[in-house]
Amino acid sequence: MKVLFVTKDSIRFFALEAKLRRQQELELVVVATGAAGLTQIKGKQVDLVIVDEQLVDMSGIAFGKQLVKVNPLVNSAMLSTLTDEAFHEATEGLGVLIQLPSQPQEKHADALLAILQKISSLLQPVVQQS
Amino acid sequence: MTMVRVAIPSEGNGGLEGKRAGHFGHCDVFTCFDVEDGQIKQVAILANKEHVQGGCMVPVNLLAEAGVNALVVGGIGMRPLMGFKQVGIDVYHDGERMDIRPVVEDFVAGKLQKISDDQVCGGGGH
Repeated sequence: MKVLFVTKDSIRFFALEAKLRRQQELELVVVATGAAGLTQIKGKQVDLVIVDEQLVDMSGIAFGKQLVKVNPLVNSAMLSTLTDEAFHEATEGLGVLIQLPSQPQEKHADALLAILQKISSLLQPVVQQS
Repeated sequence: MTMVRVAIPSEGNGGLEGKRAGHFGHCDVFTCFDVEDGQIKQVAILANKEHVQGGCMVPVNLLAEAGVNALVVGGIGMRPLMGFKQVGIDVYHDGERMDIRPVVEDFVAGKLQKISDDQVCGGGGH
């Protein structure tokens, strides 16, 4: 699974990364800026982008708005301290898988993988029965 | 003339006499119809799949596999809109009417406009 972390402080992703590595063969790329993150996903296959709340050059939400235009196929999760309602309002239409706390834990990796597995199963073609 | 397959997110069992669904991702079914030479050639009902948060590409994939060329929505988010563009499905907008038939008739007559980026749901815009 190819995962992109967009953060200037990847140490806070440690627990999340450790659990992902235990569950999946992980190809991990870490970049600090939104611009670099967008370059990483343009025309490329990335299974999951996890974006921090504030990047060097833009907010995580601003990054998410550009991400869906550059490569809408990429799934994303976002760190945010907003309330559930405010986060939903701010990210509506962006198709963010899940809101993560500022220091995601192993349980959040489990939740992410479960959602990705569910979506993957729904993307399978419908089998026509005769 | 080229045949166009159009999908309309619908409530319940759908069909030309049915009601449209306000949010395409949560619709029960898609009412699909083929248009050729300004005539409706065939109507079919396509069941939607389960809606999952972040699963925007599920209906995109479903409609692309069904050979759909155009979609008429009342509302849609930026990510699925971009997804439809990527797979070559044109997205049209009618945010007013709930009945399917008049929207179908306007599509056939070429009266519906493609949705613009500033008409998408989200970003505190609605």
